[in-house]
Amino acid sequence: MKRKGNLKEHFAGVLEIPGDLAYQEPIVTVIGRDQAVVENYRSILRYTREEIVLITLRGKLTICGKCLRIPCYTPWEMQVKGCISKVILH
Amino acid sequence: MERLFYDLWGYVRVSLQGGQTERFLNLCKSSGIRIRQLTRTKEGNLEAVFSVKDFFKLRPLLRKTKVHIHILEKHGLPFFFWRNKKRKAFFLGFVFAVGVLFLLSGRIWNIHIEGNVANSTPEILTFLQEKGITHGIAKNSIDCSQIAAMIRKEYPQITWVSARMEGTRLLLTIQEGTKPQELLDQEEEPCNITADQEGTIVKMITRRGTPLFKPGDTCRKGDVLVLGRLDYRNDSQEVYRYEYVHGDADIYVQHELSYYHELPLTYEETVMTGKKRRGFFFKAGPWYLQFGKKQEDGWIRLTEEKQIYLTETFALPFRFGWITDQAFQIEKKTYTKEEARKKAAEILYLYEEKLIEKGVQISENNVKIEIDHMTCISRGTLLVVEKTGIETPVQIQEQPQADLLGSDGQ
Repeated sequence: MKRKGNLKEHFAGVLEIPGDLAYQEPIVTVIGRDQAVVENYRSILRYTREEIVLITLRGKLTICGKCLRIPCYTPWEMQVKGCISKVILH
Repeated sequence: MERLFYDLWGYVRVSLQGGQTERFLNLCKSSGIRIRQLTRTKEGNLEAVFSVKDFFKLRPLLRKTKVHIHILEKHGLPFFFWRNKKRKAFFLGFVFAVGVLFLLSGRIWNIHIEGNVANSTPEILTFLQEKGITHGIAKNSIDCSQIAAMIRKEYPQITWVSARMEGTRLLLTIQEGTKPQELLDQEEEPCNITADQEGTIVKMITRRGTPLFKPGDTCRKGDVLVLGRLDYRNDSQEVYRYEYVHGDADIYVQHELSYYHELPLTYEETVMTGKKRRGFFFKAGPWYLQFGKKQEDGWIRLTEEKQIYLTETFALPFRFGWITDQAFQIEKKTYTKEEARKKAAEILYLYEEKLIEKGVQISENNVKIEIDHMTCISRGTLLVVEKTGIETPVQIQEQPQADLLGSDGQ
């Protein structure tokens, strides 16, 4: 299994395929202090007004802040608005 | 765009309560349900917006996660219609509007013409109107190829026409040739170049034809300067053949142009008092409605009029505009000698400018300005050089009897 993973990584490296396409790595775009867009996430683990914890293929992603809301929630991307203070990748 | 879609098909704002709200959100994601405006309230509930279509997909997910749903608000066109179902007149109006839109969309409301320079758009529109192609004509009664053929036939200088319909627009793309074939044929007809004014020839460039004058010669009005005939001579210098050509030459003649201008020293000047008054008017066909005072003596009226267009070229018979009246007084004034001299020089300068615009070169200026107690008189001559020559028909003669070899050769 490990060998298969290595082979995939090797091919992706040789073909110069970006990580988000090859391994579905999460993309987090932070626009200013009050907007963030997350792509390639798997599910929501916890959603409160102060914290949103998301599960991605490469671990957890936490967005901390105040009055966090999700104006757009689709299978492909999630838009987060509010006063964002931290974005943590575990 | 998405907002418009939501408004059109309807959406609901709901409150979600329960212990497994995150699981509910994940199931929504995996089912392809879009959620908008998701917020966590202070009480711990979730509030979200679903489209009506997605809302009906939620039942199995709610049962699985034991989340309770409560509709807070309903928005969009379906709910609007449901709320106003008793308003019959509104629905009648709506159906009527849709019907009118459907009927009107089957007609041409804009005729757009592009690529025309020599033939103006109003001219082509008038021609089309004569042929029954007007604004408001049914689309199915239009034959684009027939329109293109009609335009080509009417305007020979138009070399190519494309007529096509785009929605309720009739687009005519035109390409014009430089000169119609008939004019080109006319140009090739044999002709002489004849002087249209008297003077001394200063420059002569003959491209086609036989020059009868040379620079330095004096010509009179009506003299043939370039003969539109070529004489072919044999070795004995006998003319054995005439060939008639379209005479072509640039001929410049120098001549005197007399100038006389009288400027009275006393004149009347219109002086604006500064008083202004404004008005507005509206015209609907023969009807005229004006808001403002009538025109009186001592007032100059400026009127700005605009026609109302429904589309780019579809003019409605309605016009509106603004009226500006300005009060004026006529004052009698007298030029001083210097002023009169300056004014007379200005008038002469403007006259010279006009001549230069026509392509006339001014070689000498022999105009003198004299002032007596009543008038300022400018008189004298201008020595000018200008292009002369008009095309006149050539007299066709019988071909000569001599042959190519001549009398010596026989």
